[in-house]
Amino acid sequence: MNEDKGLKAEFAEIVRDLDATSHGSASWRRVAQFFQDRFGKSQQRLDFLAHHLLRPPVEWEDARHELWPGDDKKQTDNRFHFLQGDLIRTELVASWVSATGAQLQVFGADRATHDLWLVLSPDCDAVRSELVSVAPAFVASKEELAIAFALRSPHRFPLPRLTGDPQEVLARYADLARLSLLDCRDGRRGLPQRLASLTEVGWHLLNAQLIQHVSRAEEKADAVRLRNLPERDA
Amino acid sequence: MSVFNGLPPSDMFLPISSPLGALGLAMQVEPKRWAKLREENVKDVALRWTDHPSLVQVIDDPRLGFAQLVILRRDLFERLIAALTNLTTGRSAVRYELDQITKIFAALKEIAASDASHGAMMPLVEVVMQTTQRMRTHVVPADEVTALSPTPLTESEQAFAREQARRDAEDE
Repeated sequence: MNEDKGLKAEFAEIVRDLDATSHGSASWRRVAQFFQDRFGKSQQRLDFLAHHLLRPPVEWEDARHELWPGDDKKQTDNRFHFLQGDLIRTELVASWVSATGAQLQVFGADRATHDLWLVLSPDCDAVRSELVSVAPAFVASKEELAIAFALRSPHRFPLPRLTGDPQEVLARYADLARLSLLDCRDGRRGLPQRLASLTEVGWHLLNAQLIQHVSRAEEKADAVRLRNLPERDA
Repeated sequence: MSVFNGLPPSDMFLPISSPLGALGLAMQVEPKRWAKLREENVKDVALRWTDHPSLVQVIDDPRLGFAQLVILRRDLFERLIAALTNLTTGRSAVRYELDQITKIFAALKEIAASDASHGAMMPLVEVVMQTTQRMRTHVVPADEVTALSPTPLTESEQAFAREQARRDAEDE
């Protein structure tokens, strides 16, 4: 009996910790507040943030001896073609929502004509999973730039313009709300062209935004109350 | 005597139309020797692809034996894979299957209509035909090139963008 109480107390404490850490809203809001307080204009935010986000692609050849020195098996098992946060170019992606927003795109069928994507799946899934979650990267309009670089939207992740972009392209952003999967079956993982990886700062921001996108709890008190409403009698 | 005798070289193949052109996958295939190609630099290759995006170079060398190397652009290769997938699971394939089902039931309708003893089948056949027509129209929409578009701005995003535009326009 006492053992049971001990387990329940221990479990309750773990869940309290989960409650405090599983929703990234607080930290995310701090970052967003920083950009809104410190920089009044979109151009200032762009100038500051753009240089913090991308780096040349992280290469497996460079990483293998650094991360798994002398361990051939681990090096081979973790051979990556791309990582979470990489910007890749490929047409082997199925998106769930098409241009009209009404048609359901059948996976494996005719693909949308878009070829620039941000990898969302964690590194491990990027190496092993058959279907890798990605988000389309779009050229940002003035409005989208203002929103993305002020971190005002849970699903518009800011990205700088890319080398070779036309002069009129000021920035890009990844649309996390467009559910899209990269088909890595049948050995196709190596096909996408890698354009850039995220820096450590960019990677932290992306993960914070992913949490914000799928699990924000701005009305947390209400959300908790909802889940504690009395159950109806059967 | 060869069947090709008297035919110009361009007519030496059976007149089968290629589906690749219809799929936007027409290729310009160019045989090359490795010994010649290796003297070129990547700039030359890039320039040729700029002029001819569908260029596919088939590289031959005695050391490759019967095998040959092929150089083509990644996007063309990916479109080939996608086209192959679409042959079995694409909209056209699904629409074709639905068309076949519709035809089967159209034939059954004919039979049911012509044979009084099977007249009871008519309502059932009508229902199935209507359903398959609806599926054809709604589940498998017409072929189109689907351009992926961003999520539209929400009202609060629009409000923020308007306010930010006002601030951006202010003098320092």
